[in-house]
Amino acid sequence: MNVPQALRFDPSLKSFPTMRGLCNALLAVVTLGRSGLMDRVQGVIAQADLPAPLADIVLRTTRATRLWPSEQHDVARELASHFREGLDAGVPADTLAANFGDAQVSAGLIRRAARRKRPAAWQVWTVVWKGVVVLLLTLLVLYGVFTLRYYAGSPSIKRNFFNELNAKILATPAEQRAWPEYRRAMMAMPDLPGDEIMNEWPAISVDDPQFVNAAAYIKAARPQLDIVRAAAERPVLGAELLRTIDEEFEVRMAERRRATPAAIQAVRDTAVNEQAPENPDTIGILLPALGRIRGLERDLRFDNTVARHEGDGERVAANIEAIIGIAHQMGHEETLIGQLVGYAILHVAVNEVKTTLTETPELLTDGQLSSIAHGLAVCIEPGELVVDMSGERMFMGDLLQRIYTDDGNGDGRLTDEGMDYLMGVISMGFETPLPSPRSTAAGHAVGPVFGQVLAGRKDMQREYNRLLDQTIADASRPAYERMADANRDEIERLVHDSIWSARYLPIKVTLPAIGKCYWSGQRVTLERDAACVAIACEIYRRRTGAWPQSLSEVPRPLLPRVPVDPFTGKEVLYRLVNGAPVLYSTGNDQDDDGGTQVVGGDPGRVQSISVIVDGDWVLWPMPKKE
Amino acid sequence: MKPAPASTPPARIETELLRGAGPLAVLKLLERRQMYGYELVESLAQRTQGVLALGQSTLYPLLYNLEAKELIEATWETSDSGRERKYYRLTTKGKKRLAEDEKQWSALVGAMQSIGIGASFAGGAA
Repeated sequence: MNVPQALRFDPSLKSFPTMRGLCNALLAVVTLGRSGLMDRVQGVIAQADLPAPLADIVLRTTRATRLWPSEQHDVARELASHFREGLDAGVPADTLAANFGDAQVSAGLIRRAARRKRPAAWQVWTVVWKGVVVLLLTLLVLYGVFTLRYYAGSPSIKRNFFNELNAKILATPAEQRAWPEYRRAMMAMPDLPGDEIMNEWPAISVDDPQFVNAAAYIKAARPQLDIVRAAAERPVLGAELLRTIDEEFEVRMAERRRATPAAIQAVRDTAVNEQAPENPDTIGILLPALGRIRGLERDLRFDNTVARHEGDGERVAANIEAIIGIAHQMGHEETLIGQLVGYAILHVAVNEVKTTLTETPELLTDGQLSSIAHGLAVCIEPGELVVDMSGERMFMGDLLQRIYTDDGNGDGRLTDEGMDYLMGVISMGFETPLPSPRSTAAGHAVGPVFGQVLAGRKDMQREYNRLLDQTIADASRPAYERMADANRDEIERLVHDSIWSARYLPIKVTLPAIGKCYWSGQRVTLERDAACVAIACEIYRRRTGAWPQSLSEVPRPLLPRVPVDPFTGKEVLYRLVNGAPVLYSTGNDQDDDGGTQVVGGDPGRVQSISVIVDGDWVLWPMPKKE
Repeated sequence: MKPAPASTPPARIETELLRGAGPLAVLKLLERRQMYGYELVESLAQRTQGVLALGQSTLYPLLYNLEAKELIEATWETSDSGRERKYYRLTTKGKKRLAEDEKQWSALVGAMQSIGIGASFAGGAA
């Protein structure tokens, strides 16, 4: 057996199994088969006693067939036998050799024919692996093309949404913008009280041990609250968007909460270190005003608690109107989140009205109540509050220009740079940021493929617009209509569809819960209008000495219209229970439970449009806490 | 080059024509008895006056193909002279195929003759 020594497997190799040892072993097995075969072919030729030219033809042809050893042996036997027959018949060796033709061509034909004789299982296997190879090669070529496209392009950021937004804000005259005044007031406010108060702020009742200290703080802040109340009368918030933090303001805010010197320095460092790109992405726009405005609203709310305690109706009315004014300003913000904060502040204003009417019904004059009612009725906008999604459309437009190329016709493809940006956006939903796809091999490998999975720019924009329009149309319907439609929420269905989610990932991660936003507007609208009814009833009581038996008794100038219950499409319900008025919606069970609020758990559950709970949604007086 | 006379068949058949005729000819030769490769070559060359003279490079792939289709089967046998030969014989399937192909070829030859092709060789080839 002519196995080269170097290729023989040496069982004494101590390192086996190693890759080298394994290769040696395999090579030895393969070579052993081939070497043995050649010995056998040589034997066949020798047995046929063929002259050198014919022996060479047999050897070369047999070898060139590259068939299995047994097949090659068979071919060699047959060719040798053939030549032997020819020689014995007296045909010269040269003639036989010439007649044979080209050995390579013959070997090819023989190989093709011999392989057809192989077992069906082998034939199937051959087709399968050839198919797999072709498939892999095709995929490889496609992957190469995808990779080229993925890395060759780069996003074309043409619109500066940041500047566009700021241009709108700054176009409003300074005297109409409230934020500069709010900022001035907050800068001048005294330092905040300790955590024992701030942890409960502003829900500190008069019988709370901390009330005196908390009241002292708010008393010290009254000059600044006067500035806030005056600014609340301005039509717009007008908070300029910032590329970096407002260092002076943030440092003062840190000082007010008695931050450590290190923490204050950290704020300064942030301001210094933060880069200020010319065209910052809208998703990362700093909206510090939102949180600060909520802080002002809380200050006003606690000042109301103190004012009610002190019997200062004028301050209570001023505070409520200021909260309404702030809600109005926020409700007109360009961003959805700003508008929702406006709704939340309006909800606070409504609660302040109801609390005042319940706890200190005689505190406010008719004139103050009427003024508050007029302010409420047009707060944000008359009629139903509807969120404006133009800011969301703008955010999506900005996102798309940062992840896709631009072919000039509204279409484009995902790029390496865009993928990195998209992952950054997705990371915002995680506590620990996801690794950049550019920093990992897997990211580089998957990127080009994901670029093909992800919808193109035009398709993405179209799907976003379609979903937004459809969901807005659906969400705009009254609750009773939406509840009757079991298939109303296409977004809810789509986000659970893994194919859709992968194809339209940017939509999935950025599309707001539109249904909830709209419902929030409808809910606050009812609360706002119910507060107006409560004021009308209170004024009626003062004039007649008794609560109205029904809302139709309340004169039209006091109550221009009765709000509609979104759960029934009919007027909200009113009745006297033990001589006291109760204004209520049926709640999501659409059933009149006599003005009984839901028993147990969160009373707000009756406001859900997805989970039905027995009980009514009491709009006035304030629902009792469990 | 001097053109061949119209009545004389060409010495070699074009590959395309041979592709259909070769297997049928081999099957026909094996109809009566089993034969080995060299014997088949010689027999074909003699009986067709060289028209269907198959070289080894054509014959053996042809035989392997017929074997793969199970129209023929092969066995190694030792002749009286002590020489090893691989004999091919027709299978039942091969007999059926031969019958079918013969019919088709007859129809084809008849058709060709009807338009004046090969009329002078009618009945001479087989």
